[in-house]
Amino acid sequence: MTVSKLDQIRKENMSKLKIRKNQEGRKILIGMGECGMKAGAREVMQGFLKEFNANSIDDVSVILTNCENKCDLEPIVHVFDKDGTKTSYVNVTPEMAKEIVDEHIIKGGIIKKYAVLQNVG
Amino acid sequence: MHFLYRSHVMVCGGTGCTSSNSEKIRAELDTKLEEYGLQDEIKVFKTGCFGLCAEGPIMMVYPEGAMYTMVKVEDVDEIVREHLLYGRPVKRLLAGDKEHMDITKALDSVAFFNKQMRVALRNCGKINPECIDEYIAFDGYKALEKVLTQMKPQEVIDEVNKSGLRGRGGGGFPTGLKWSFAARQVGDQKYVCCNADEGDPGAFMDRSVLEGDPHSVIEAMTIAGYAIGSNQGYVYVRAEYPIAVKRLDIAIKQAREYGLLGKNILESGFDFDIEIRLGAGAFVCGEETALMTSIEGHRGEPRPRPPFPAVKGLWQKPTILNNVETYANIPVIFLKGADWFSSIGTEKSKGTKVFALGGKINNVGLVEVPMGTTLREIVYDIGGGIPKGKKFKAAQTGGPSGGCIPAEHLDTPIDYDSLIQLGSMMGSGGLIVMDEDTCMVDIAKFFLEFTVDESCGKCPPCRIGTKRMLEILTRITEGKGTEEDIEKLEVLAKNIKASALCGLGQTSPNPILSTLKYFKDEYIAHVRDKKCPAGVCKSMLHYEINPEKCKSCGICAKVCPASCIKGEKKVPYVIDTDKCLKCGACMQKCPFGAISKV
Repeated sequence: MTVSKLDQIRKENMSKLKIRKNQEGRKILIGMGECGMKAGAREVMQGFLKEFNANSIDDVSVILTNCENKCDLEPIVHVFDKDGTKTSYVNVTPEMAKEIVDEHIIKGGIIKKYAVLQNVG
Repeated sequence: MHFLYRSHVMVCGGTGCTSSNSEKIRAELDTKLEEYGLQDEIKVFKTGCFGLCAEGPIMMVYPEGAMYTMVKVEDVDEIVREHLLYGRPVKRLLAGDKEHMDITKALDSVAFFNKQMRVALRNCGKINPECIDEYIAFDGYKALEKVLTQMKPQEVIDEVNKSGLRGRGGGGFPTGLKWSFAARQVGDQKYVCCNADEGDPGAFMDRSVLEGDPHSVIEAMTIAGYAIGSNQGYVYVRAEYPIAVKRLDIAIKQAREYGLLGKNILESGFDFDIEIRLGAGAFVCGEETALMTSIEGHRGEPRPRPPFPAVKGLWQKPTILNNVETYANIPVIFLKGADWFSSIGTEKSKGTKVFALGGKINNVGLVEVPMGTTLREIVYDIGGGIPKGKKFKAAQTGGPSGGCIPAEHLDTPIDYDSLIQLGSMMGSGGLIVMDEDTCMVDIAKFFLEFTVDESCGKCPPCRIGTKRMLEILTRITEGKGTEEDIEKLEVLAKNIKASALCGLGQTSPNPILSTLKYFKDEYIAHVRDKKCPAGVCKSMLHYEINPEKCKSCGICAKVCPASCIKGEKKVPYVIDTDKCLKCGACMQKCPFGAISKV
């Protein structure tokens, strides 16, 4: 074992375990519940997970929430930036999930054609 | 297969939660995750103690940080389906504010957690103790890296000295000073030992550290080895801690595999290895000289000091012996600096202390607080107070070597020196709370029974003296004591304190001395009035039926195992006190509250 090898192990595993520390950081909230699931929210969530894995994004928590009584807008995804700014996307599809990851989460730009609401935190 | 999971479910695998089925819960979680098709999104981990043992088994769900308590195997399906699949946390099992809009904040207002500061227990409940990678990810072996690559042995000792760390096992001796004594010795072989023979009734912090974060002890012992010039360590742990022994064993093997134990650690040229030695659970083997004698393969008996272990210890070689909790603090001192560490606590007691709360307290469990926290904060805020709204009477710290602290000292900031001043001691951190229904003479007798049982028998003051003290206490609790007995107790106690061979013998009279100091009136009531004020000592109390309240229902007579209650319709029942066994069954069952202890 060398110092640099130890550092490498630390970095790799820290990335895997960030989920246990990242309560104040970035997160996405996905409406699940029965209506969300019927509208395909699970596929959307899996889409996000796939993109996070593909791009090694380890600092965005994925949190599921119950139905918000806006069932015809499901799947609803709220993206919270580090500063607490909340952007809501509705009727999200797995394809849109990829776009949201690429444009919003990686590049930090809001996708205006999808975003329905933004609250600065 | 995903590399990053969206959720980690941590299930406590400490001794407490394991004995309430947490292993089955973990297996059930895996089964249910697969049933709902979530196995690629969510991963279940075993972890160490969260501290809230009274409410175990405990489960923590990340990323929300939602804690579930008292989880049963039957609850697992609901948790997986509702929380993990549909995003609807199971509120009835949530710890903290169940109705909080944001479950990530449910625990924020819980005093049990937010008044604590976890340094020694930093990783317990956060990492999987059987995975070295997780320890490394949470800055594990970073302190060792710093020590081996940037510091000279003397600088290591200076840093520990500067931190003000004192031994967490009982005595409170400055750790850096101990290390410097051993470092100064010249010799071909030195040893680093770890005392994990936790023997105080009610204390389980060392067990929890070994179960929840064994690598922190390995890392710290390696640092100690580098500081004093030793390449061999021994952990002496009682065989009664099977989970702790197993996790430590796994951890040592993993550390060897990674080259963090063994030859030429991190290419520094420094060699160090650790072996486990199992003890058979004798209290005396927690005493440093007896512990080392036991490691050598002899019968565990103490020997006189000096020479101190730093000069002649294990196999007559210079040796340092520190407690598990002391070691668990060491890596943090090097990661955050001695100045950070010494900024916590009081003037002469730095850092934090782990306490095992037990006895008459709501939140039985493990807590870590900055030195200087008051007993009131520990008992009432963190501990959640006393069950059934009973009154606090006293708290015993330091186990059988310590003493009791009565209610008038609830606001004393707790540190090594304030406890000594109160006639008690820190000890390893067992904190047993007693309420108004506790008889202090009976408590002293309980601890003396323990000491007599555990005395190794080498020196007469302990072997014979404690036995005599126990006889006197037994007499007093049986209502046969005299005022002279109290004087005799005091004289005996002082003589044993002055003449016993080892620390355990010398401190064995402490429970008597401190109860005499604060509750002498109870002793006097026992010998003079033949009364036990708390109503505990059976020979001095009898049960009575109040004829005005008695409705002659006959329930008492039915439950009485000695058939000593007689009566008939419309005439109040009467207890034959000569035949009465004083079991109290009649009082418990009386629907009218007509029976009382006098």
